[in-house]
Amino acid sequence: MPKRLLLCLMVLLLVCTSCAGQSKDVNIMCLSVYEDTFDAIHRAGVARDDALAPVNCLTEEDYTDYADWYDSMYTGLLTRSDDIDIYWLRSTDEKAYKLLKDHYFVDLSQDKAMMEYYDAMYPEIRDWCTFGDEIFGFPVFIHYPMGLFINEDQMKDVGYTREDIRTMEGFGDFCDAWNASQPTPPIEGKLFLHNYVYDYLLSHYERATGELNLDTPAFRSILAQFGASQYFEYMPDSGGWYTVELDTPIALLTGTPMAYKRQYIPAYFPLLEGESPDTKRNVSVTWCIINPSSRNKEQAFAYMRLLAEASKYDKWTNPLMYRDEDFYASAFLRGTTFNNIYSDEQFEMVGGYLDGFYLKYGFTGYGDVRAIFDLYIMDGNQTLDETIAEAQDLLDTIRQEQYIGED
Amino acid sequence: MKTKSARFIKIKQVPGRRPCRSPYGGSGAPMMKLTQFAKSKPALLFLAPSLIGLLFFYIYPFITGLRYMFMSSGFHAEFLGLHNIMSLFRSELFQTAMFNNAIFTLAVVPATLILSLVFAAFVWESMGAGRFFRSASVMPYVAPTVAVVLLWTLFFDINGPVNQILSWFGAERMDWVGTSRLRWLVITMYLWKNTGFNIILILASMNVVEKEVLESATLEGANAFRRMVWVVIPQILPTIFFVTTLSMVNSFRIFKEAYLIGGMYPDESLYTVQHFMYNQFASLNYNYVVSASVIFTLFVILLVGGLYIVEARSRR
Repeated sequence: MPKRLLLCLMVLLLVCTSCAGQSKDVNIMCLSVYEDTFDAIHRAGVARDDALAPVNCLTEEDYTDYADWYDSMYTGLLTRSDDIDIYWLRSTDEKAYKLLKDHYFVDLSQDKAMMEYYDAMYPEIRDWCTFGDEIFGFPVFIHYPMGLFINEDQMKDVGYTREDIRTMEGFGDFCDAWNASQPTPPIEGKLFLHNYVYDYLLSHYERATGELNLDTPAFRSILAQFGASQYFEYMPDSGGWYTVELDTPIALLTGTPMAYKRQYIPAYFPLLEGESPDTKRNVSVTWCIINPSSRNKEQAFAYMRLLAEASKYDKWTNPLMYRDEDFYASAFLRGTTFNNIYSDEQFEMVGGYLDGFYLKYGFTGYGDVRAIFDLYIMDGNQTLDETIAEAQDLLDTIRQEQYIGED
Repeated sequence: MKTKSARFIKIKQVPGRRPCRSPYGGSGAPMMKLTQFAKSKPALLFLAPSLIGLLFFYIYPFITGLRYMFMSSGFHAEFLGLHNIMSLFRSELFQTAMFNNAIFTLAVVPATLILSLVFAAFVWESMGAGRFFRSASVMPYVAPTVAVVLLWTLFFDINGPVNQILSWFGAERMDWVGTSRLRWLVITMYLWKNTGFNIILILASMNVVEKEVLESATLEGANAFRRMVWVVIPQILPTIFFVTTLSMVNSFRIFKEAYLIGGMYPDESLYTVQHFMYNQFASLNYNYVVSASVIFTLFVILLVGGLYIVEARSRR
């Protein structure tokens, strides 16, 4: 009797396992805030081609659980679970490089239709999607944490130009002049000073050896400038997020690609004292990547093509990704608020702008080290030497942990 | 016709074996042959929930994970042989972690044993106050670790009461948490928290010491110390071995306290193998997690196995 029972159980298990492989649904793990966007894109896609697979967005609702949610996703990938077909990866995530290095992606260049989109992209953006010789993901969001978008006309009203705010000192003068004559703050959101620190960490991290020397004059200079809190007055109240309307005078926007269509042009965060005018800034990219263990690769590819097509749509939150006007004209998801931004002049300007950014992946300990410097900037309970020593000590321990067998 | 209860009795009364002296089983428990054990269906039935859990949640994952030990990480993992193990042995950080675990065990096990024996003897000899001490000693053990750690970190904070008292005597305030003093702080906390449980175990075994022998020793003129050393301790040796084994195994579980005080990257003096494994897991380096856990398990088996051999020889 027990043998028969065992046999029945095994048969049941086999049936369940074989059925699991026949699912046509595409499961995407993404953050809940973008669920609506995905839903809109998908509905539009299905209306055009009803053969597209149903899509389930497995989302995280609570940002406090965000890290745990990501951890469970990584564990699923590493144990070759096929629960997720498409997953999100953020470049600044500590595990991003590790997943790419260990090849937890499907090379998208094997799909000819997808390659048409990549071929039309700005070369910089295409490079940001490339690992080795392979294209690992599609960029769903490109964020420029140290990018500004400025309204030159409004700046001129208070007697300043784009070049005047290239330095922190000039930026401060402009803010003072603006505040003296305008009822609204000069900048939407915040000029996040921490980004200068994060930028240094990412740009100076040596991936090959895991080394990052924090005790340098350049980094000390950045911290010293913030430690003195001399720039805090330029940061509006944290509650001061304003909705930008065309008739609302706000000269600067931070990291808002949508600004292209509102006569704002792109610029960079001001340079700190001692920074070279050629200094490039970090860009943060979020990609959609196909799980190599997925059983629905065909459907997942279909969905990726839909994403790529949707990225032509001006409601999509990316700035211009393709530099070909005709390419946009073919967009089946074309919106109603086009502002004729697809001109050669605009394409050139965006191309030049992208040249001022680089992509670096997060590294193990990046979050912890960031937290140490956040505390230094905001609380100021520790000295500069103590802060650097603490962060350096942590990084050295992590380096020893992560680079075993590679010395 | 044999009844189930009769079979139970037969198992307990294995000819040639000494009856269990310790109320906790331990080394004094009758040793059954495996075949007899297997025949005992009721015993298996009672053990089944625990055995199934052990099998599915510990042994099965451990064995299936062993392959990671010989592989590189990644979707297209390659066979690396013993590379991961050798890399771990060469890693200074892993050596530090193993050293810290060894230091902790070497410090904690004898200290727990001596303290438990001394306090148990004191309580046993002074039966009047014994009830109070018995209850008091077990209080830290039942207190939640998180609460204990919070209390201790408050006490030993740079502005806490301990530094306050030190400053009254002209000593400088000390950083107990951010320096290598943390190791000794955690050891002291561990002793304070866990000694009570061992005292209860030893006290219970002292209570079954043969009274006639004790009375005869007293009549012969032996004082309390001599009675303890020459009469009581030899009779409770199995329990002492049991307490030693338990302390040794528990000493490897110091991670909880260390993590709550120092986080994932505490001072180097408190960085243990568990920190190493946890951080490797969080960094998705499963090959190193498995390799480290195998090395660590072998280390624990060797230590505990060695202790059992010593015990077996001492019994003979």
